[in-house]
Amino acid sequence: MAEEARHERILISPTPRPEGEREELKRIWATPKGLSIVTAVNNDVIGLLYMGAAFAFFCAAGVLALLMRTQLATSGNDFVTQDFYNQLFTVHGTTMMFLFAVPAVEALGVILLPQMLAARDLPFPRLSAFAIWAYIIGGTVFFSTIFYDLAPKSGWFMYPPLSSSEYSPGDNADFWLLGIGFIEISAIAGAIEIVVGTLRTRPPGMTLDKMPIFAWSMLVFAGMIIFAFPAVILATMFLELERAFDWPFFVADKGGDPLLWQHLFWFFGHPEVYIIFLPAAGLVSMIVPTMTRRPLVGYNLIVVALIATAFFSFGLWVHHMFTTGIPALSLTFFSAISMAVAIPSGIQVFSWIATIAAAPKGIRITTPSLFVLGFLFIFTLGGLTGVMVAMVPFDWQVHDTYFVVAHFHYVLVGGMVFPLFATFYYWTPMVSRNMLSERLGKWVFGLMFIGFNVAFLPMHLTGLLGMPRRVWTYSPIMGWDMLNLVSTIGAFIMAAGVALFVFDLFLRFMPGEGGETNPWGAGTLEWLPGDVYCFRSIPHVTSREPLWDQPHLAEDVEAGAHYLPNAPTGGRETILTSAIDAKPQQLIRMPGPGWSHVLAAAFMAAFFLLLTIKLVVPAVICGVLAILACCVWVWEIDRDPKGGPVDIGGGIKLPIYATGPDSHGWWAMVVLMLVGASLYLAYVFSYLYAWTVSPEVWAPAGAAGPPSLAWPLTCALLLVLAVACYMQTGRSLGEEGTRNWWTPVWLIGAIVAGIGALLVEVYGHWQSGLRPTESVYGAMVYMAGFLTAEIVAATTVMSLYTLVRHFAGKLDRTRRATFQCTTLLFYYAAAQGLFGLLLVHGFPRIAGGY
Amino acid sequence: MAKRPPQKTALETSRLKVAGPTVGTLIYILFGPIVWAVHLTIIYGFQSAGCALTGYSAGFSFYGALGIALVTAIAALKLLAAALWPSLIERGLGASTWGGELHAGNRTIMRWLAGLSIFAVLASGLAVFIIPVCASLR
Repeated sequence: MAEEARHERILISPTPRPEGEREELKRIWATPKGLSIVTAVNNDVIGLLYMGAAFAFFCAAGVLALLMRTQLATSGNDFVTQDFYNQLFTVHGTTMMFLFAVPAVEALGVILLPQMLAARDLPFPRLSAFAIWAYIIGGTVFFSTIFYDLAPKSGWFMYPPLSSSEYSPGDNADFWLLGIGFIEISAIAGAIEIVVGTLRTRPPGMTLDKMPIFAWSMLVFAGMIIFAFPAVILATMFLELERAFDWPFFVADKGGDPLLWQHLFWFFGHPEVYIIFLPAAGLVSMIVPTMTRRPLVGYNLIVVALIATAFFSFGLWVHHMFTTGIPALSLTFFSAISMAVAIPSGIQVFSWIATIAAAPKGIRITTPSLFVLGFLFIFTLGGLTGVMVAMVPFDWQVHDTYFVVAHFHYVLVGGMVFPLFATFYYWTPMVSRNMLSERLGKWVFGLMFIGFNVAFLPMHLTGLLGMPRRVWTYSPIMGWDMLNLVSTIGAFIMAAGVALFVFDLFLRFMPGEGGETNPWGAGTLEWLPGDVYCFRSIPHVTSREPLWDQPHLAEDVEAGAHYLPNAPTGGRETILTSAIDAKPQQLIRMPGPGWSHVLAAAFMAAFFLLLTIKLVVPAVICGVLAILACCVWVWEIDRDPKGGPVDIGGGIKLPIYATGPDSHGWWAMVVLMLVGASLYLAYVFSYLYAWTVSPEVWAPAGAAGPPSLAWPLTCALLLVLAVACYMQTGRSLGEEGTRNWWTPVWLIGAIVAGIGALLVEVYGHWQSGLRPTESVYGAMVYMAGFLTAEIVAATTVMSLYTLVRHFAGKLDRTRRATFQCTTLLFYYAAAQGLFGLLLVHGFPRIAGGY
Repeated sequence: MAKRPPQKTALETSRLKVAGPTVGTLIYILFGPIVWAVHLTIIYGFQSAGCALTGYSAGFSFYGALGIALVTAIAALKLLAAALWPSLIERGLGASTWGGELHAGNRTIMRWLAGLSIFAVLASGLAVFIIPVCASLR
């Protein structure tokens, strides 16, 4: 009885709605026309752009794969040169992992999440657009290096010493390091958007336990990016500093260790596999119920599996290093987890199978369901070979052979590409006026499925026969010719499937509204009738499949009978709800189209790329312009707090301005601080790791310093002073509409004290005679300063921006959201600085008995 | 018959503080994996550093094995307690703010994750009884 009552028809806002409301919504959310389309921020526009770019990179990297397969089709082949072959596999791997897989998943998040969560858009539309433009510009430049012999050649994981300046002279490796570092920033920006979006913009009533599985998987995905990507960002910093300035992080002669790179890279690299797989699994969990016309079996268990996989994936990285001579007990720790992670993956697979088995009418055989079934077959095989290589003795035999190439392609193509194609066919009606062809789709699936297995199944044997990966060619006496030829034929069959899909896409895909609503009969919100503003009103949700359980929901939402059927502030807005129980808390006002974020992305890309080719002055100019563009971008975000509260329907009135934990900006800053903390923890690990490898180069016995205690104490005092000044700044803010002249004094004091602390710390080491180039100890000590300098630079710019807002009369006791964000980051910077002092000055004293 | 949801006063909902219950809920749900992560960090860090700094000596083996076994036992017992008596860790983590359905869902997820984590903790930690602490076996 209670269950029935829960699904009663719910009406929030009175109907019929006043005339002109819908037109106003259309005007507010209209997509810019002509060239101005690049300024668009609507999730459906930029999301499609994002996905289009990711798919273009997929095709381009696929062409590189075909070139490689052509080269390997016969023994002794010289179709491409050895040097070019090295560039091919490096750019292929890098592009697939960094420019296709992660961006494609983020693109799906941008396109699907607002619709699934019935938000008008994600909470930071310009941040999404910035991330997308940064990725497109940076990615295009990086990929183009293959055309003018500037592409990196050390493989997608760029192990030193092969990637060091000694063995990889020239700019090729730098393009990888700076290009990828830049794209990682884009990925992190997207992750912040997704975390805040899934936690704070769900529709009223959609508690955590009613959230669509895809949203869960995107939340887990974004969380993983936050903790995994900083490790590789730090690694790329280390390698670039080593290549450019001879800081010897990986030079064994100076106490460094190339294995440090492997630890950092794979701490990112293995979770990366699940970063790609989990959202794809989330997509499958959305498609399977629709195609079987019944709710997913084991919703809670799927959530368990997503979370467990995400966590365990961080305990697997050493299984990429089983052959490096690490003690056997360490290997067993990671071997055990490598096998344990199969359990949550298995839970998901069994849940999908159970859903299919429990369906009264079985599964509808459509193109999406074929790709899902293909995924189940291929991914399960990849998972099984994963358990094989998780066993240390077996791994020792097949390490760096084609067996591993086969394994990870089964996992990645099976686990991500097949679900992605299922997604293309399944969700196209949501964004296009036409569906893709079911008849051609089945051919696409057939070609891809057969082609993939013909290409990669033989590679298991090729590997077991001893063929190493990355070899340019091989001798006919090895007996690998036939297997390689079969693989090459398979690769071309698979490519034909992708080409047929592209043909269908050109034929039928027409972006825009007006397509069939809910052609598959799905139960989740993205299939509500929509327009540029997402949905006419934001529904009150009472179950996991609202469209199945609330039969009148679509017509009621379209009639404006739910929340926010209008635009009470006259601009772009959506409802902010509480993270756990989705209670309405605030109406956030969002920015519309603009040039500032596009310019910020372009100048930031130019900064990184010009720096790569050592054009320092133009790079700095572009960097400054990028910062200015960012300031213009955020200037209009912290709006006038006046005008609230406003009625969103159902008697609920919401404020239009919030600060502290209620505001979405505060949440974004907390997530950013988590990224910073992850980066710093990776540094602490690196410092301690380097010490365990080479304690003999550590101070006081092996190097100068550490400086006398007066230096770190002065530095600590200045940091505390800076924090005190910031606290005073907050207290000194005037009443609404007034200015207190003490505010700039305290703020400038904080900036000066922060910079002073940094200078004292760096100079203290310098005057003691320590140099970053002399040993890994010196490099690690100065790296702590470098990391703090980065964050001090960021907080200085933000503080100066706050100062300008004060003088412009846009900062007071009420209007303080951006100031609070700056404060949070400033406190974090101080905390990191103080911790760094303890580590850099305290550790050598304790460990060295100084 | 259409029904309207209970009326809420204007700012009643907006004044809810979201950070506390959110962090508490996340810690509660993730209790198992968090304990697992701490366990792996401790045993791997302790063993790696211990072996490296003692020159992979046999002398470290006994204390190393003892330490790893002890940490594993503590972690496994903590996880078992959480899985069997979830109310022990619910206090102070915002459980009172969850509705009945949400509470049941969170509890199910926490228990399963704790169960999986027990397996992972034991699978890693018990290896100390069959593998020498510092040998490379190559």
